Amino acid sequence: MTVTDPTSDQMARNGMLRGHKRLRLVVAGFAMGLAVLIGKAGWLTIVEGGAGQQHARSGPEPRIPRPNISDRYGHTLAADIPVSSLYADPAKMIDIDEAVELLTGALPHLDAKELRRKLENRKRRFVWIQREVSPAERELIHNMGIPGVGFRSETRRIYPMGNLAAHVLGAVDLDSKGIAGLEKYLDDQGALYTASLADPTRAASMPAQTSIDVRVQHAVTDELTKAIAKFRAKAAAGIVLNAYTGEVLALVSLPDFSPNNPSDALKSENVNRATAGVFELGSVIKAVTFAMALDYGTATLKSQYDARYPLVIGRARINDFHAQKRIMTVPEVFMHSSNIGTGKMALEVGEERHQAFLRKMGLFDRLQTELPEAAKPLLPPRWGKLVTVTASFGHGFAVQPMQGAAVAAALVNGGKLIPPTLLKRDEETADALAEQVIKPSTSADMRYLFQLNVTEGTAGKAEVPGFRVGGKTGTAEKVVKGRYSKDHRLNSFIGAFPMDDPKYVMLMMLDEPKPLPETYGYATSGWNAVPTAGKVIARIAPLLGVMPQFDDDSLKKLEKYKKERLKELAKEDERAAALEAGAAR
Amino acid sequence: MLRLLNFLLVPAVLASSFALYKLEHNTRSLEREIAATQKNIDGEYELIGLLNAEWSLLTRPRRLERLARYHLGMGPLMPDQIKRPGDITGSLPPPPAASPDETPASDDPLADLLRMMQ
Repeated sequence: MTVTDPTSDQMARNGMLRGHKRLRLVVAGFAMGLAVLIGKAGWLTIVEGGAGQQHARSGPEPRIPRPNISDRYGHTLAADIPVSSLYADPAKMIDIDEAVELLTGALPHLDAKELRRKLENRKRRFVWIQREVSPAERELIHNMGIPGVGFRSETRRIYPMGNLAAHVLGAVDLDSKGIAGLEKYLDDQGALYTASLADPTRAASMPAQTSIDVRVQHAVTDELTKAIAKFRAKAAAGIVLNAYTGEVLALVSLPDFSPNNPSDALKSENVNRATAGVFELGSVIKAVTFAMALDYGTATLKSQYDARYPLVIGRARINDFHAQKRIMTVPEVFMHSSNIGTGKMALEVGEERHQAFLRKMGLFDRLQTELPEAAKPLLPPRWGKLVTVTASFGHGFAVQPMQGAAVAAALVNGGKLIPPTLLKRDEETADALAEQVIKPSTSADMRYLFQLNVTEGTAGKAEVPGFRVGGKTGTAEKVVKGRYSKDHRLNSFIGAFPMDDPKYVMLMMLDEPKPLPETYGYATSGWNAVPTAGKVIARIAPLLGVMPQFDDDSLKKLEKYKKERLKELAKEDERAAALEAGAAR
Repeated sequence: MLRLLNFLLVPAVLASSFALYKLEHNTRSLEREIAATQKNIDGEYELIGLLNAEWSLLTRPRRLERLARYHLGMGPLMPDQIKRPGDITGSLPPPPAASPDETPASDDPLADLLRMMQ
C-alpha cells in the first residue's frame, strides 16, 4: 500500500517535464514578440525619426492668424482668407516626367524646365511649386493624385474695401505682421492676443471692432477727393468725431493707399496727416483762446475790443487779415477772426494762465490714439508776451489735427475733454475717461459763437439749412523756406452739428488749395475747406440720424441752398462723365 | 471547485474583452465623428469669413453710390427730403372712429382691440 504507484509517479514527472517545455516555448514566443517591437520602435525613432523631423521642419513657419477688423456696424474691413499653396516632396516622387506634364497642364503659366529642376533635386523634402492656388486649380490637381504633391493651407490678409479707411487699418507685411495703423496696434498687444481674437471656434472670438462708420468714411473721402481735384490742393485730411464718446467715425487722409499693397503704406506722401503730422490749425487755436478768456472770466460775450490799430508788442506789429478797423464785441472778433482782438484777449488772461490752459486742453502733449503714428506738437521754444499773442491765433503752434478735433469736441460738448479712440466705446467708458476742462456755461457760449459764425460769419458756406451747423474757419500761412508764405496756405474748418446739442464734431483740412475764378480769386478757408465741410455734413447728418429742423429763417435759405446744390451736383456729374469718357478713350 | 471557477472565468474573459473591444471601437468611431464635425465647423467658419469678405467687397459704399446714381437715378439727400413719422400722418387715412356705445376700456388694451374687431 505504501509502495507508490509507479504509473502515477511517472505521469507526474512527465507532466512536469511537459509543463517545463511549454513554459520555455511561451518565454521564447514572448521574447521574439518583444524583440520585434523593440526593433520596430528603434527603427522608427533612430532611422526614420530624423527624416520625419526634417520633413516637419522643412516647410515655412505658419503665419500668425489675425482677427478680422470690422467697422462699427460689423462690415468687414480686413479679413484673413484661406488660400492653398502647392508644394512637392521630391523624395516621394515616383515619375517626374509624368508629374511635370500633369502640373504644367493644370497650371499653364508654370515653367516646365524650372519645375523639373526643382523636382529632380531628390535631397530636398520640400519645394514650393505655386503659392496661392485658386480653389478650381486645387480641385483639379488634387484629383490627379500625383504622388509627392500636396497642398498646405495658408491665409492671406485682404482688405475688401480697398483704399477706404486705409490709414486707420494700416497694413501687414508678407509675414502677416502689422506694419502700420490698427494692424500694428493689434500686434503690439501681443501675438497671442492677436491670434486668440482670430480663433473662429472660440466664443471670445470677435472681430476687432473699430469706431469707423464706413458710410461716413466714404462720404468724407469722396468729398475731400473732389475738393482736392477742384482746388488743386496737395493733400487733405478729415476727421468726424462723436462728441460724447470720443469715437472716431471717419478718419481720412489723402493721398491714401490700398492696404492690399503694403509697400505703399510706408511711403512718405501717404503719411497719415490726421495723426502723424502736425499743422498750424488757426481755427481751433483761436476758438481755444476764446474759451479760455470766457472760462477765466476775463471776457464775456459783451466785452469789446479795439481793433482799430495794429497790436504792437516790442518790434512786432499784429495785423488783421479781414481788417475791420473798429471796436468789436467778442462775437464780432470771433466772426471776423480778428488777430488783434484775439491777441488782446490772450494778453488779458496772461502768459502763465494761457500756458496752463493749453496744457489742460492737452495741446502741449503728444496725443496717442490706438494708431502707432502719432506726432508731437510743435511748440514755441520760449514763452513771452509776443508768443502769447501769436499763439492765441495759432502762429508757431502746430498740433495733430486729431488733437484739434478732440479739443473742439470738448468746447461744444459741455466742457469734457475725451481722448479720441478708433475702437468702439460706449458713453459710460467715455465719461470715466473724460476730464472737465471748461465750465458747461463756457461751452454754451462757444456753441453760440460757432453757430453765429456759420449763420452770419466767415463759415457761411458750411451751412446746411435744417441741420444747425456751427464752426470756425482757419487759414494758416505755411512756412516756406523759413518764412510765412502768402501763397501757400493750410486751410481748415472745425465744426459741429446739430448746434443745439452737438453730437458730432468734424475737422476738415486742405493743404495748399489754389484760388479759382469761381471763388473770385480767393483761396482762404471760407472758399474751399468750408464748402467742402458743408457738403460732407449734408451727406452724413442724415446717415447719423440727425433730424433736420426748420424755422422761418432756414426755410428761406433752403430754396436757395437746394438750387445751388443741384447745380453743383449736375456739374459734378458732368465732370465725372467727362473723366469716364476720357478713361474710355 | 477550482476547475468550475476556471470554466466560468474563461467565458467571462471572452465576454469582457469583447465588450472592451466593442467599447473602444465605439469610442474611436465617435472620436472620428467629432473630428469630422469639427472640421466641418472650421470649414463653415472659413466659408462665413470668405462670404463676409465678399459681401463687404460688393457693398463698398463707392460701388453702391455709383450703382444707385447710374441705375436708379438717385443722388444725395436734400434736408427737406427727411420726414418724421409725425409729419406724414396728414397723408394717412383717418383711423376708424370708435363708437361711444362700445364697452368701456378695461385694463387689457389688447382684449379691447380684439373685442372691437369682432
